[in-house]
Amino acid sequence: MADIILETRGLEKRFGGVRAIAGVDFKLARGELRCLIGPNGAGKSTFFKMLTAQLRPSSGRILFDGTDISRAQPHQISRLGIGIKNQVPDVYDGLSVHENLWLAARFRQDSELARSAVKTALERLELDRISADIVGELAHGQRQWVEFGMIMVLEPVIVLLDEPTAGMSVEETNRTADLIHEINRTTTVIVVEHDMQFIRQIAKQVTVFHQGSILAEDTMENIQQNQTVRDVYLGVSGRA
Amino acid sequence: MALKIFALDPPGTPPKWWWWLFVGTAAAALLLMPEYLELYVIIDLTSYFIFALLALSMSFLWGYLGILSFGQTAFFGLGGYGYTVLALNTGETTGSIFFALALPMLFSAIVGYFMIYGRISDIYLSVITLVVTLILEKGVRATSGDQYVIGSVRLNGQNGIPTVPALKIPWNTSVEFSFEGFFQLAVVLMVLVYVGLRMLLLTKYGRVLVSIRENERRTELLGYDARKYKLSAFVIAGGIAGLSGAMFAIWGPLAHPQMFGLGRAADVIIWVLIGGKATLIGPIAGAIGIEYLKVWLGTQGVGQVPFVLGLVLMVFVLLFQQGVLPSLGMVISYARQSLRRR
Amino acid sequence: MDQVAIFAYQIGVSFGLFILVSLGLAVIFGMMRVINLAQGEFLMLGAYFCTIITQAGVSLWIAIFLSGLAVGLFGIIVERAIIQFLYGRIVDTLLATWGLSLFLVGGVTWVFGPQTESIASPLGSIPVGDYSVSQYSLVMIAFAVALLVATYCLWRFTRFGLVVRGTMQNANVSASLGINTSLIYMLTFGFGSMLTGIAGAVLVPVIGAYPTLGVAYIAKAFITVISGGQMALLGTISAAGLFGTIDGIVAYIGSSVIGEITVLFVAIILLRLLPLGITGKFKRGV
Repeated sequence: MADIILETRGLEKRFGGVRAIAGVDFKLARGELRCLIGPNGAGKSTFFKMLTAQLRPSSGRILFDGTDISRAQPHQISRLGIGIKNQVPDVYDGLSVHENLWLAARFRQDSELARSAVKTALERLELDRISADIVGELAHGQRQWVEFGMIMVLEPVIVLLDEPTAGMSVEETNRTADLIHEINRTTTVIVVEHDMQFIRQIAKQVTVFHQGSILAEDTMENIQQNQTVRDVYLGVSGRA
Repeated sequence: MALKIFALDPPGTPPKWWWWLFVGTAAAALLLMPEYLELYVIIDLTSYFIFALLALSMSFLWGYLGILSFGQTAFFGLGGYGYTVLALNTGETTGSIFFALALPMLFSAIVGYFMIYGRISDIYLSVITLVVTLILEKGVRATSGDQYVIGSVRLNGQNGIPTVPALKIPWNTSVEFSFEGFFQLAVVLMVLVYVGLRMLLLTKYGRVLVSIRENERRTELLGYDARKYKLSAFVIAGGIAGLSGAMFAIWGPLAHPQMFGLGRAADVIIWVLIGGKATLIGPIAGAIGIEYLKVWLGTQGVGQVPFVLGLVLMVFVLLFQQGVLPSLGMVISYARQSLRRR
Repeated sequence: MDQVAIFAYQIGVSFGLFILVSLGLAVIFGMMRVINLAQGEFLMLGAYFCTIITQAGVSLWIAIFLSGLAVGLFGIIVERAIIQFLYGRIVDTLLATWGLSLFLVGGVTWVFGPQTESIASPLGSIPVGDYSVSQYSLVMIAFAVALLVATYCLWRFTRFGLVVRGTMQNANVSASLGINTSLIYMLTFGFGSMLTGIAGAVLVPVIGAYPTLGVAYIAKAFITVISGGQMALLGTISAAGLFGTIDGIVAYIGSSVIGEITVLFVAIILLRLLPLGITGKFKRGV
């Protein structure tokens, strides 16, 4: 049996009478790069928010490396080694690029190590030339990378990315794909995405969400052949 | 654009040599003032510098952590009453000053715990701190009967306690501070708190506070327990406000329910807002300037100072968001840029 | 038996008072999310209008009605002059309305002086065993309930109410449906002001009119509306019920100040347990 890093058991989220997530059992092995896809309203974002403690599950459990994290606070999630990138760039708009990364690096490290970690990340992301700029004044793609940088210097065990290429140009998207592959060399990664082109670029294993539960889970090639998944995406699932 | 301009007091960057020179010179000049000024001026100035402490406690929370606490007057009043009651009971004044620090810190820890760990939004926190100070005022005003006694001290309700003991010199407790000495003490405290906060904001702790102002959720996702940082900052600010309150009661000498009141709470907001909340020196200037203005308005026969202050507050919110000093800084740097372009 | 009746009466009065002082705020803060720190001064203005009008020889009941209209109109002026520029800038709203509050307290003191203007309570009292109960207090409770019901019906059953509720939930959608949202905001603010004005006028025979009247009640109002949570009206009713009961009991045993302090601490602990208020678990609505 593979080394399971993240697992959910019977995870459920109800909003009023609506079951946004209806009993999801999900397993992720260490070192994987997993994509979560599904049509709008399938529950991907809700699922993602629960994994990152931004939403409390109504019932069910989330296990990270064997520990139950379903009732953890956001800061505890991060301390366990989970790095999170939300859909909207979640950065400090009023601070400089350097300060953004420094705050992330300084959490675990002393100031000497933090400084060198920030320097490495800035170079790797080619942000070193604009390190003194205020993040709020940068272009959208650059702000996304600042957030990537913050997550990288945290050196997490697992990285969760919610639509990392939203609003990016083709070129930026390609660079992001490279970046994700690079992060995946040392880290487990989950990507929630819309852009099928991008998923083909990066995906190994894909999980398809539909109406709050998992519809299919397979390699990208097999998923593309899967008739049910096709129906769901073409919006004719009701017919079957 | 506006974010780049903290002309006088850039937070998060270590002060340059000229800053130390400025602070040193200013402190020395202030300490020498009693040599040159009339006593009544010195006494007036003392109260302004005491208010500057209160302004610092507010701008630390509001400008750097992003929490607008209306209730700094709650801690101000508690400090004043705490000092007065303990000093009257024991005759010991130095210890009572420390008590005036500890009591508001304890109180702010309790109130802050419920608000911050309850994760109520910042704006509710503002309203609740206001409510707390208003109700404390009401509570103290209601203590006029004989039964409201702590130790041997009657709280005296509406009338306050006019017998606040003067501060004695710690190493020679038979001698009280003179007016000049007390003035110098106020200067020293103001400078110490100013420099202390300035240094604190350079540390990791201070920078995390600023990051919470910028984006609290991100800070938590980086692993920092934002609640702990917020609560501790709230307690620090409570202590500073308490110290200010004790000094003010001694200066009076009067511990009065008005210390908790809406009028005083409004003053603090106005000092910080007009001085500019993104700096520490601005609120000090704001406190001194506005208090001076109020005294001046009084002598000009404007009976209703709140009327004028209210008008000032409305105009400021609608027209100058950054405060006077930063707005001025913005104008200067804009002028410099356009000169360069030529 | 008498004691029980008096006790119930005390709680009823307390409840009525909480409703009266917080209903207008429930509309302006609870629904519109405008933190109006001058709300207490609207109450004070209502009290002064009522005093002036009755002193001119008009009957109290008409004066209450006119005061409500006057304060409602004043609210509309305030909305146009200040509030409309500050929607979405919540801290600025808070500061500007505080400025307004100081301005009004200062201005009224200037014109009328700091003393309390009072008018005679128009009704007598009825004996309950050894005690006596002022009839006017019962009228006050009736007013509280009537205003509550009227507001609920307006929001729930009229087209205007529907438009208002829609606009408060999503102004963009309303605007795209051709609704003049700016006008709706103005009218809703005016309506909330009117409720507070009526409340101030109703309270005059009991507490009189004085410049700092608002400061004395603003704390109560905010505690009630914040603790009520998402659903402005239902939340306000439940919070007023809870706090009115506590306040009534404690005030009966101790004093009214102790009652108020107790309510504050209950409210703060309540917010630790239910950060979104009593009705926080419900969806947003009336």
